[in-house]
Amino acid sequence: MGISNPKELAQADALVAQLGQEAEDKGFVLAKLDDLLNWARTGSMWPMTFGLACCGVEMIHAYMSRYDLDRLGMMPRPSPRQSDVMIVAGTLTNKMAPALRKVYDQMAEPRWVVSMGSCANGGGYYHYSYSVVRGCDRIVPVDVYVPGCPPSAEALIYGLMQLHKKIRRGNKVIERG
Amino acid sequence: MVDSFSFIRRVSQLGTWIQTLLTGRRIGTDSFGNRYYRGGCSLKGVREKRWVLYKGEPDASKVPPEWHIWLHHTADAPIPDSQRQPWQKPHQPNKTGTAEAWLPQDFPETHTRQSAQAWKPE
Repeated sequence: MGISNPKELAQADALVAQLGQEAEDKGFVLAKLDDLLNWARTGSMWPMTFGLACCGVEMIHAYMSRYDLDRLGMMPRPSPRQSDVMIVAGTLTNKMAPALRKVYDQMAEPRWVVSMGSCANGGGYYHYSYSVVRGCDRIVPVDVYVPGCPPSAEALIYGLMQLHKKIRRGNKVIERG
Repeated sequence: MVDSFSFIRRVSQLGTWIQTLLTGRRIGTDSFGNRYYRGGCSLKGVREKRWVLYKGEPDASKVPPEWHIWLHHTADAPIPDSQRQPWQKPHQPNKTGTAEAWLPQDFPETHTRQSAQAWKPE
């Protein structure tokens, strides 16, 4: 049984066109909302400072007046409850690992992790030590790995910009609810 | 490569545009369409400012080496195309996160991008 009346056909066509228009409109609105959210998120990422070793010194360089991460809206927070991104800077030891995991679990969603330096990436120089975690990605999921021993402040900032790009690519609103 | 340079981010760069309009002197354009400007203080002993307005999304790795050397005050002028060597490959920006991201030649077939995903903390 089909629609034979030309008037009904025209009505059906109009309905389909209207639905398409609506979907297009809604898609447009969602995309713009994502832009706004991503802009807001990338514009004020408060890092949880997790300076464990000499990488922490380079992280502090990035915060200080020469490179000034505050330009990107990044202010180091002492509390995981207030922070969006955790910068794991330095050697993660077995003793520190439960604390790192606890701090990560206390961070509010959405949260990101930047692994800074060889030691946090994969154990680095201490890979064969009896007391070192061979990469902090064994404890927490890592978004960006910054290579170097230690990475320069520029390298860290570039890694954070890569994280910004990743946030813009992703769609955490729909993904995580 | 998805160019995610949204309207909001364009607006948030308004200050750079105004400064470029007021004080910038256009030096040139590279093969990717990025525009290069100089300006700032003309006092003796004070270094001039050099900056770039990117075509599309801002990304420092978009600057080719010919202009990078000028942008970082290593040379007084960008290297002209006539000095390009035959062994030089065309410049590519950072492809991380895109479909063209680099993978090792001997990367196992079983370890495709689908199989290598971030784990969820549960």
